[in-house]
Amino acid sequence: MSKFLLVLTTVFLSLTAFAQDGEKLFNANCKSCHAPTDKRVVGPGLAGVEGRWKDRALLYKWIKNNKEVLASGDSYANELYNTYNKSVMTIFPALTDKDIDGILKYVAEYKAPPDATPVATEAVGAGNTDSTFSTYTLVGLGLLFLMLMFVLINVRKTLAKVDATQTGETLPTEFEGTLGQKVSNWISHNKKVVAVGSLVIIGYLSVLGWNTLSGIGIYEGYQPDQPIKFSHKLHAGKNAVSCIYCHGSAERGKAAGVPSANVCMNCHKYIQEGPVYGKVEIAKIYAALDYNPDKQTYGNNPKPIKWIKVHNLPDHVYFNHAQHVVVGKVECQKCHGPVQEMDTIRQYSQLTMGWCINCHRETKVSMEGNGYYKELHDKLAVKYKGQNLTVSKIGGLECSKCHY
Amino acid sequence: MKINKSYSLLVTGATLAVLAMSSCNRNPLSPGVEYMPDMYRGPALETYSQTKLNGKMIPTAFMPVTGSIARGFEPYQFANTPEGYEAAGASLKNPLTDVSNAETEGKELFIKYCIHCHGEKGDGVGSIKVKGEAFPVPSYYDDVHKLLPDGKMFHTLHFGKGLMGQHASQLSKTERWKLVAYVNKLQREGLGETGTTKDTTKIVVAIMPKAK
Repeated sequence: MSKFLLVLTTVFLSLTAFAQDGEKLFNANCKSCHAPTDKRVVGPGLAGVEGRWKDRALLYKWIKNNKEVLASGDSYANELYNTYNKSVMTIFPALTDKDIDGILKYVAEYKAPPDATPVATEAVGAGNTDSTFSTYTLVGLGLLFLMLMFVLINVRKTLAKVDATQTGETLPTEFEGTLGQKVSNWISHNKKVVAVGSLVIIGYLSVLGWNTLSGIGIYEGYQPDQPIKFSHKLHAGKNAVSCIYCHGSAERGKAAGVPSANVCMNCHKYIQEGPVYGKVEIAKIYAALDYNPDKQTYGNNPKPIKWIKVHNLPDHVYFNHAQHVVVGKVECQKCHGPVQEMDTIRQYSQLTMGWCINCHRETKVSMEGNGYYKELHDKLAVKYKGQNLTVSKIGGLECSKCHY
Repeated sequence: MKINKSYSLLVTGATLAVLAMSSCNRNPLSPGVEYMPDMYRGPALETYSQTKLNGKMIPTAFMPVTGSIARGFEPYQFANTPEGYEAAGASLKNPLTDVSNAETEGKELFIKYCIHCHGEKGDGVGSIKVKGEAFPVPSYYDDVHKLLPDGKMFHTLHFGKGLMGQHASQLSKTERWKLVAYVNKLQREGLGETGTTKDTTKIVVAIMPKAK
């Protein structure tokens, strides 16, 4: 009786499985290599797969154990295998014919969801166009005003002349003499204008001089165009990829590191089209790797991507990312600013010595949860009782910490 | 009175002019003025730069000499083939003995390296969206993956599988095992202790108390 019940349940279960589990089975077993559309993922897109295999029994056999079919010398199977870079399909001996029917049914009935509203397109990649606005516009406006002034003065002169000839008045005689005499005459008659004018010039030059001198060697605001229009706003902001995923060496060494292109390929093997620039920018990664996205093969002629370095410390300063990120537990954004909102990366901080020192003076050292230095930490707690234990108190201001 | 008015006008204009002229932003495309550039750019080669060698500009990041072995390198005994995958699944065991520590640190690594594709719970719904759709990532809880032995997980992290790329260049061997431990924890929590019939000799299941 129990045996009968068991058989009954099994039959029942397998019947229901046919109807509802096609999608589930597809997602579990097929999705990471096949799309239900005609898009190639790792293997071919499955739309119309039933039509491509002349023998349905062979298709079952292929899905369950493709190696047997390949070994049997079936021409279509071997052609497939060679077209798709001889990448081997996993064998699925656990799938029953019913399961496969369910999967095929799901694929046949699959309709791509309507293109989701391209939310990403709004501001990503659109910034940074008005950066040179101020300088050029101001110069242009200045020239325009000068011309306007010149024209107005001439109009006024002519009007005065016309007025004088009509009323019969005599115009004040123009000053005769050399150019130098003319200039000094004009100056002596317009002392206030000259005074204010000189003030403007002196003021401008002082401000300009001050700004230039205090900006020497400071890259703050540096935002060069990069060879690939990579957007941190899209990757780190919208898609919320951790900084460390690409800049892992920030936790392991001195430099935060530029990810090698194989890290890009972890996602861009699949994502071949971006929301803003389409295929153009992503194709640059493929070009750098000499990768053929259609055949999914790599060539022998990779070329490095010439990223432009933004953050640069002078040669005589030692800075270590791992020290700050792992030990100090400093957030990336503390020094690099809201990178997740930047399309093109921009130097956010001054990276001057004063800036470093300020942070060392303000940042408190956490002494919890580090048993290795317990003895030292206890001593420090006694020594600086009642004071904030900042980085500066444990040698963060010593010259040789950074300069050696 | 007339003179005063024009005078004040002039002063206002002058102040505005100075302000306008000095408010010019720096050019974001240029790093700016450097005092003694050789202090910033020393003769020693920097990472990711170029140098001239035999009259040719070459990148300073060289490929290692053929046959180089990285410090601390440990060979991986399984090949990047389906046979290797099966063999790894059958014979590799998680060498980490402090499981709860491995899980804690594995969680930190998971947040940094996995979460954007696999999702917080490992259900395959991560933060990366492609045209509004999630990445085609299988869930840790489906029929195939809930039974996945540790060795296969490790093998996949090492070589990649299907769409997933290799992560051996980003994660050390120990870190990969920590991740395996954390994925097991996720699966235990998601499916309950009885939901998975994985090999019970696995240390994670054997040592950890029953998850809620």
